[in-house]
Amino acid sequence: MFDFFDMEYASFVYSAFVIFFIVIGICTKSALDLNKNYMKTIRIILNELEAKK
Amino acid sequence: MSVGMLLLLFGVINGLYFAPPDYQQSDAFRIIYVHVPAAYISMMTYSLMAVASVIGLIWRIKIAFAFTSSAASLGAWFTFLALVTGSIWGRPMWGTWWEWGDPRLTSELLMLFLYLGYMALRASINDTQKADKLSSIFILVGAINVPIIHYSVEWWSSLHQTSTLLKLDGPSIATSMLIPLMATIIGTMFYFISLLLIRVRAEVIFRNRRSKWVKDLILESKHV
Repeated sequence: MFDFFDMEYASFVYSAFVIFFIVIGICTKSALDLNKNYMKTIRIILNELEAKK
Repeated sequence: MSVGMLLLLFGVINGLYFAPPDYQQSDAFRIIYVHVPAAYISMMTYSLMAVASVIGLIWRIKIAFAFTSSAASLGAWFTFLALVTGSIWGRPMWGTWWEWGDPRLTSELLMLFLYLGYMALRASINDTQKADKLSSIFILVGAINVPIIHYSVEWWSSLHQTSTLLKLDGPSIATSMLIPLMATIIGTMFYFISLLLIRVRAEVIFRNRRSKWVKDLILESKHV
């Protein structure tokens, strides 16, 4: 069977890769949340404007 | 975004399990498959922010400012990533996590502070137009650091190795190692560009939230 840890400095190598993908995940979530929050705010503004009419 | 992730996964799997170990660094060299893309994006983002700042300040094109404010946090994260992965590589190779006297390491750290400084400056000014102008000037002043990072390994004595890919006489790396590296670099760039476009789009829409086209856009689609 393939041994994923059969390499020198495996802990260093895998730590770097794990951190890389965690940061990619954070960046993705942050971009999607920003989009969602901005759209939510705009909808609130539009609803307020509609209510004033 | 999907193309970027697929390329990235192709590069990561090949880099981890199919590329041969380096004759000097052994398997620790595999960290370059995440370190190099992060470092390239970190410098590329700052350079693009500087170009966008010039465009915004001279031609007053508003989307340029939306671009700089959207790119900053991504740039900061990738700079952080370049520093952390570099540090993890440095421990087994240099015997230390960090070396303050090293010009490449300290200039890259300075770049992280420039990104954070830019974001802090923007956040501290309520007037968007004023924030755009002042933060763009800040970016332009800090842009001097980009060539310093790139050439630091040639200008001064550094623990960091000299450039492997961006050389006039071609890359000095074996093809079996180069292919996964190019895949991770291009894949990460594609993914990064996708995230940047999401942020820029949201920023442009938010900045124009009082305009009619945004109102029409929101009313047309519930899933904007």
